[in-house]
Amino acid sequence: MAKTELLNLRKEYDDVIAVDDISITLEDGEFLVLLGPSGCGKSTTLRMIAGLETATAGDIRVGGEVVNDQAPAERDFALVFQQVALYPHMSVQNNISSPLRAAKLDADTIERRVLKTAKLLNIEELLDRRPSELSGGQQQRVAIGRALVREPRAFLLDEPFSKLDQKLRIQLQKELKQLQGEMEITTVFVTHDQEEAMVLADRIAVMDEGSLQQIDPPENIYQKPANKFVADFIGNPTMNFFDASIEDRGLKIEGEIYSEWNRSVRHASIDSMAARPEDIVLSESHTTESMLTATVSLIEMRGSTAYFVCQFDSRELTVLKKNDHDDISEGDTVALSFDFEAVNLFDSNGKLVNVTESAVRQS
Amino acid sequence: MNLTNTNRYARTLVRGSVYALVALWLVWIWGPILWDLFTGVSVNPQTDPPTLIPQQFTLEHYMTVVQEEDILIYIRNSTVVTTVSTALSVLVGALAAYSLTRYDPGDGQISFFTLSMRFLPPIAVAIPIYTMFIGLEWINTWQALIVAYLTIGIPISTWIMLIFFQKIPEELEEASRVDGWSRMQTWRRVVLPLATPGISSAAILTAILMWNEYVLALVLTTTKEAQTVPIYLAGFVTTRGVLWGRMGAATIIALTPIVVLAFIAQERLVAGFTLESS
Repeated sequence: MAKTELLNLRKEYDDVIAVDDISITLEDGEFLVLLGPSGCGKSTTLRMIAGLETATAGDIRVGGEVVNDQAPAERDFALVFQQVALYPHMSVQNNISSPLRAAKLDADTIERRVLKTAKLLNIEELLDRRPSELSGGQQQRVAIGRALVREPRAFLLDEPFSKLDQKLRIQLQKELKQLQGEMEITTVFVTHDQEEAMVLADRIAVMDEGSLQQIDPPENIYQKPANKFVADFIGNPTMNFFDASIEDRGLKIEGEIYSEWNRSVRHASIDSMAARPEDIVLSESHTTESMLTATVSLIEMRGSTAYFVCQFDSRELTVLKKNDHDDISEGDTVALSFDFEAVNLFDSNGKLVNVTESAVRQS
Repeated sequence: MNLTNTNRYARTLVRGSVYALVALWLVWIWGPILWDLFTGVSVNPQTDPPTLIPQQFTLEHYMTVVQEEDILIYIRNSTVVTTVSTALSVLVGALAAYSLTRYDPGDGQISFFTLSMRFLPPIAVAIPIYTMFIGLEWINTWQALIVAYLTIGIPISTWIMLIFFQKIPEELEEASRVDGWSRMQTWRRVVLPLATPGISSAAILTAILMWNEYVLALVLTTTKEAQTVPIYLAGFVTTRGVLWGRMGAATIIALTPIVVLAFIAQERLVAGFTLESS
């Protein structure tokens, strides 16, 4: 299989820039998820790869060859739509065999491959039915079958599970991931659901306002967000942001100096700090040391975990409840300290400042 | 007890009025046809107008109409003109309606404009058309009627089919193109089958309009070489009175083809609808 590359891909509609100079190289057999809020250009990017939209500028290359002007079918990418888009007047059998019939394969081959695909997706009993006689999950399986049956170069999915209920969605995510792993088929999956992205992706490409924010494996996206947008977008509950700057005596956070910040990073333009709910440590605020304080306004139970919602400087902070937090209750004033190994610092442009690396260099 | 009684009366009353309305409607629709049917088979219905139920029955008027008056020639003319103009209208209309639902550059103005010719009374259009066809030496020909009818048929069928094409999701066509079918193939195997109910409706309504069209046919044709059935039927109203018997017979004969067509098309229409929903 050949490598697929997007080079400075751009799409403009009249005055609107939908996709702004995106460059991504798809590795063979990888599962890439395009993630971003609605209107960020992720679906447009996918549709350009599929050949349903023409790029305003930039190239799509497959194995080094530019395919910009090729029709969808010539590119040999299969696409699964958000709206399922099964042909209502055809049986499941004919829906699945549609790409094979378009390719003019002989009847035996078509029958064999349709049956094989149907078995793979557990829909062989449904072959004679019409799409309207199927449940939502079955319809989506048929749509996936129609894409898989042609054994395409790459598999493109545009929010295929967003209309399904959660249980079914999780089930299909699992099956898709398994199937993709077994078939080693390069896959691009568009979603706005970060949990879905985390579950499925080998790499996640986070997009916002048409441009690529970060492309990395899920754990990097979570732990080392490249900028404030990614930091804010990824994670549920979201990150807590603080004004921060480097001082001689330590890290100054919202006016308080934390001297346990022992790294010798001197980045002139450090502007803010972001801490995940699990990276903030609460203690009852009777310590002599000067620390930021907040008031616990709510304890939010989420099954196995619980969060403190704290009022801080007319903002809300979300902090993970840990084992030694049992004596903190609603209404208490608490002092905030941070796990400085895990927090992220950003410069005034909102870009991540790579602390560890700088620290190593400085010491 | 009282209440249930009142309820029952109310329900009977409502049901009664519904039946009465339907009956009235049926008389309204079927009355003239029945009247034509009876007049056509009665002996010498020379009272003016004739009584509804004839005293004596005869097939004389049918014989006269078919054998002496060449109704079959008028039916032939009507059939040719209606078939060709309907087929062309639906073909062009289907392509136009599809294009307008997918790439309407005028933001609805174009589809509105196509109807604008219908804003004028037909006679206002008939005269200029007549002058143009004199230049083409097309007066009293089938093609004159066919071309003139297209100016009515294309807009009407475009408008009817617009609604149906709008309901076909664009993703289906995209899916088909990703599957590897060309745009034309996609149109034939996805769009067209799903638009069948719309196409049938457009065909029936256009055909009925064409079959019954009077004003343009009156202006553009002069002899039975090209004259259509409505002109022939109007001819029974003569200066010396109305030929009731022949008119009744001819009306029933003229009615038959279009009724048969409507029934066939209706069956297909129903089939089309069930195709779409299943």
